[in-house]
Amino acid sequence: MDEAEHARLSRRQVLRQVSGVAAGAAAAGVLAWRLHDLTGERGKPPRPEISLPPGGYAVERSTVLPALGVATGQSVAALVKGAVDAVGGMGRFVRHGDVVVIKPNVAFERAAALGATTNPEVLRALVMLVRDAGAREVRVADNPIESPEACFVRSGVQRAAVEAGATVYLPSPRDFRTLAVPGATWIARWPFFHRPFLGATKVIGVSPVKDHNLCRASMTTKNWYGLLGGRRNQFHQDIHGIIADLALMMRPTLVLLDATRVLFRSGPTGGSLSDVRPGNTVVASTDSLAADAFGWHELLERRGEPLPAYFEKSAARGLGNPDWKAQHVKRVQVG
Amino acid sequence: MGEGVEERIFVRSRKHFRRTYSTREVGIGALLLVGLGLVAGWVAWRGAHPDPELSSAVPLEHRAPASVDRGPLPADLAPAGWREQRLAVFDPSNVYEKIDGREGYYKSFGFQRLHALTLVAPAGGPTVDLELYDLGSPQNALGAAAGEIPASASPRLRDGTLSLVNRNTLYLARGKYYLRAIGSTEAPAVREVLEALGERFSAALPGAALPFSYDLFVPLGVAPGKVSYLAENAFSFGFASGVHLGQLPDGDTELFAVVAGTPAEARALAARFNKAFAEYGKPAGAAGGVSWAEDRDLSRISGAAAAGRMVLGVHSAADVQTARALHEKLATRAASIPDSALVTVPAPPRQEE
Repeated sequence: MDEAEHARLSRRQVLRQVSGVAAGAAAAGVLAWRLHDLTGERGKPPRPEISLPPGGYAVERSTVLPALGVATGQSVAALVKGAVDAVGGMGRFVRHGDVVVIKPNVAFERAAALGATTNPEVLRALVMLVRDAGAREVRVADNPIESPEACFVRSGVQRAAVEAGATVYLPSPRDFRTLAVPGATWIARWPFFHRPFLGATKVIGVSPVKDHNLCRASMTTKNWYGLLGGRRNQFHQDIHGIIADLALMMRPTLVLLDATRVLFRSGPTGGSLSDVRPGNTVVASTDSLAADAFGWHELLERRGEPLPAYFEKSAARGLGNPDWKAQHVKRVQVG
Repeated sequence: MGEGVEERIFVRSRKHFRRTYSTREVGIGALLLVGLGLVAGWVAWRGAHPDPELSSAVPLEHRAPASVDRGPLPADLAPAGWREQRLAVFDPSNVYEKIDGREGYYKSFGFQRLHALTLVAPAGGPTVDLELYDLGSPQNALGAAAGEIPASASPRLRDGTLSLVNRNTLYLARGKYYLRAIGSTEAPAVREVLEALGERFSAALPGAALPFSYDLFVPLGVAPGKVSYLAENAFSFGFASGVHLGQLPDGDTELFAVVAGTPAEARALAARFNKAFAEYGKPAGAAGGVSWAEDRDLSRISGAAAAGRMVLGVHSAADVQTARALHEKLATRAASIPDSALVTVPAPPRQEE
């Protein structure tokens, strides 16, 4: 545009051009704002949140039956049956046609004797008990710390589960969905190992009794950590808070505390047989906090020490009663 | 471009605006087509020749280790007939992938790197898992080992290596390294492998001078395996970091020493120890230059005093007379240790629980 042509521009033309440029800039700005995706999450296909059933998978509380069933003895199968029978028998918890998820602790690639994982013989007895109660399908699932395949094989859990008639669910990235946990501090929305829970009607946790370097004791409540995905190690900054969240997340049908062996130091990984002592005990309960408090006092033998903070945090949310001594405890001696 | 030659090359109304192309344009177009053809050909070839790993019939855990830096791990660790499996290296940012929940323990001892390796016996036999921790200093390595070795065991100290085979586990600390080798069973064959590994690592790992605490405590009756080091929170005191400990054979009484930057800092630190001990009980009188305190629950005596840059203390002695006698021996022994041996280790970053 030469000077002469510029001089011929009318005010209307100038306004039109300025307006055009301004409109173009505004449109570009709006478009940029709409497309802005700092985390890259907006660009992914939408994945709706899921929720677990209201009230979880818990059965109706009993005012008559014991809150804790404690079986002691040598036979693993008799221990499992004895503990469950003491709180009403498996028929109270599993009905004909149920699809049951069993969550053992298979966190580490360790031999069963080292006490860092659920005793496979306890799992075997539990699966058979659930099947005998009429379950249509039994699923065994965990999201271990180390390689899932290696953990399930080395711990003996894979073999025991399959031989007893259960289906093993190993986690893969597509098996996780965002779970909404209203009221949770850390996991209000968090990736959850969801595939085993599709169509599930009952959930049973079975965890070993372990010392834990951070939260001091890993038992049935901490066991649900193995259903989380994502960078879950960040929760160690508030380990007691996350365990209280786990208690909120999962309201199980039943929990079993596998104290056939007790990893009393160097947990949760363990490694030395000198860190393991025989417990010869299985505890069954519908109250995770009661079972874990019993484990703290009687199985880890930390009677003189106060319970870890996650008990109080969970109890404050009405998620159980750690005062197991005030509850009806049925102890049985089995073979 | 000369006069009369149209420069525009866009297409209008489905017709070439220009009837001819230049030789250069044709050449560039041909080159692009050849390039695209090469890419397509490479994709097709890769599709026909996939990486055999993708469809390997061998389970992942049985495959040969990937090319991972072995670091300080000696070569060919597998005994005859055994094989190595899954060599992996972890640093502070990802060690949770291996030992989630336990990593804080090693981080409290200055964790820098973990080399992990599994040895597998033939035909589904036993396994031995090796965990070699680089903890940055001999104090940390010995401290981490002391915290995991069973209390009833007596490790051997030889040529700067602390080692013990206990049931299914080899514990070994040498230089800045701490090795745990974990057998899946305590069968004799596994223990043989553990013993052999102890010899291999004792010879292969670079050594370093033992901390001064061995010179200080062992002549006073502390077994070498009972000399330990707490990087933080000694006696559950938040301020008590870098504490060298020696447990006497009675199983209760401990001698301790901390190196401060200056004599003035040592005096201030000794006063903090004495105040903290007193808060757990009641004063038990001053003797030998130490303000002793009696624990209210255990009725045991504790106290500390500065000696140069060191804080020297006795924890949980049976009575004041015993504590005073031990402290005097400790001070006498400490006087023979050169100042150059008083090495301090930076405290690890504090971890939230």
